[in-house]
Amino acid sequence: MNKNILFVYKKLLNNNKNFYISYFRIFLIFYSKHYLLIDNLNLNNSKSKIINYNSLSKLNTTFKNYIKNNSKNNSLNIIFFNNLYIYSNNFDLFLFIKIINNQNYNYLNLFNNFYFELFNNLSFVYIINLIFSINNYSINIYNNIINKNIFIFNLFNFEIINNFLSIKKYILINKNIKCNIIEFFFNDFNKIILNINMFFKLNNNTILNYYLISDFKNNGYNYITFFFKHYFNNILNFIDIYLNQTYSFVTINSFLIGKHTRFNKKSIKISKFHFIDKFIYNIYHYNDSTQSNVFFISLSNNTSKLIFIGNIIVGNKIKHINANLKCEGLMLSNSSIIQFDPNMFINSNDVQCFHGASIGCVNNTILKYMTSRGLDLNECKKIIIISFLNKILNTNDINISILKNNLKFNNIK
Amino acid sequence: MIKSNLLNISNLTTSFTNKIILNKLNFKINSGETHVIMGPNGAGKSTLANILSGNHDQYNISGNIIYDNTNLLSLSAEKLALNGIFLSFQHPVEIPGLSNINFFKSFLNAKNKHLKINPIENNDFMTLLNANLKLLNIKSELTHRSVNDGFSGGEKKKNEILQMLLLDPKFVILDEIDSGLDIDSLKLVFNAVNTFKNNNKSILIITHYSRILKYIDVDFVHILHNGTIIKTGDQALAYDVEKHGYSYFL
Repeated sequence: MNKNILFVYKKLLNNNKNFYISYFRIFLIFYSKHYLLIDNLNLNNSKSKIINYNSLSKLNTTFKNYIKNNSKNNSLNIIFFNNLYIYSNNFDLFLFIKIINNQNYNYLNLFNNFYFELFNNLSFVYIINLIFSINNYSINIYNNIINKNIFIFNLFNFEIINNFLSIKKYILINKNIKCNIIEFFFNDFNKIILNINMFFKLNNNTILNYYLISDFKNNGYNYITFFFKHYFNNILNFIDIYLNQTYSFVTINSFLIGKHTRFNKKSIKISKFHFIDKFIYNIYHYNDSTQSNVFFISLSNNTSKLIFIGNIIVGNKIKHINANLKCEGLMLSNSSIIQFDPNMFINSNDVQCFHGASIGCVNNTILKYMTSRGLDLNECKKIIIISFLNKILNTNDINISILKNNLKFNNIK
Repeated sequence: MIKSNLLNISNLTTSFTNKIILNKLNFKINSGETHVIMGPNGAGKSTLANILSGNHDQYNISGNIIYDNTNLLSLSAEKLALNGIFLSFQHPVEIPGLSNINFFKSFLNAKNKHLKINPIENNDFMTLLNANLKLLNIKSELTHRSVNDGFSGGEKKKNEILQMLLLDPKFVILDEIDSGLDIDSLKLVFNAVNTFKNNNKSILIITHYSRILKYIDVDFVHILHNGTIIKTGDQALAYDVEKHGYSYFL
């Protein structure tokens, strides 16, 4: 049941000209418990229904009850597909995929207005973005999807004009919201330059758990920039994993403007081949009683080069600040390079800060110890890598488990 | 009862960067026997332990070591472990990030794979683990911590014995197991070793002190000096060493 998502993704794209269906299938594979359903899926199946987006409001009570009765925790309930809802009586499926094509969308807003009943009954919300060209779009999260898991899949199309794509995405988390966003970036097409800018506004008294997995294999250049603006009394827990086999440049800017705001950041970067990755994290403490915890870990193999620069900036006369910045690297090859540069710029006295960095190789002494218990060398290395990643991934958080399930050893190696 | 020969070392000479460490060493251990090797610092005790556990790449070696009818020097550390040799390290290694429980389960499954039996079931594993934790008076929280990471000296040594009990090997080498242990822990450790001991298990204890003999019955005591055994005797020999020092025997 543990399928290698990336392999399947590529294979499906190569073999199936109908890439919408391919994407849809990939999507299911992510949730391996539903994998068996895939082969049963036939969009032309007489038992499946395709309902026009606009006709959803005409759904009768029976159907609403059907959705309600079949919504269970951890079950696949809804997917968004190409302006159509598709659901099937066969396997409790209900889907909608949005194609984003040179227009601005605020589709969750639409849902909020029209379909909140539906959202209230669902465990998860799934969004697939099939991104064709230059985009600006926003997602506004209101009360009716409180405590929901929102999955966002970003799949880039090979028909991008001039192989260049720039996206701006705005995510607004409204007051008193607690939600989880689980976002995925995939791209397998060659020589594409991507520039993604994401703007998050966290309003008062909000908690956002934001999980990101980025897997670009496009032998291109990927620039991702995040801006987080924190208002009063909110918490952002942001965990991201970069499996990219490309040149990656990631910048994170977190502005802790309001009092009692917290930014907890954990990142994993896996670097391999000859690619160069550069990560810059800037955390600005601009109000009293703000906290930030940054933990960055990286695995480097082959001749890859990774540069991490972390900057914690505390403004003038700001009180009760707690800021931690820690980075750890594990080199799997003597030819790889890891360069950590954690910095703190403190302009205030009432501050508790810590910063540190450590880089090491796979240790022969550890390997000897482990082999003396009957484990072979490959198994030992695998266990060491997984243990290293477990510094971030070892948790009961279900969303991290989803990310973890996608991190197969072969992907890393 | 005739005891079968488990380990036979003949004319073993090892050197490291042209310095001879073990010099024409001859030594036998039968099944069910417990041997103690004592000797001054630099006598070659830990080198012997390393070689017997398969970590012999860095040494120039001549002579033979036959373990369980197999040429021990032809087997890697991993294969030796799978074939029932266990080394309790003098300085157990810390592995940050890898929890004890995952490590234990990994090596038990490696052993099961070698024996061509199914991976251990969770319930069976926990039953086995809990029984041995109780025997060593180890708190279960310790199993969720990283292997030896931040452990006290005593906890590390107990953790080694715990691994020994889980793996249930045929031949155990305890390299200075008593160092870093207080009296209570020493009693617990040797209580566990005595529980483990039977007619099919052989034990080689490397130590500096005779105090361990209060807690375990041994068959032979050897004094190793300049890489060779200069005297063999029973428990009384260890007390003589304690009383007169090594120089008395040189």
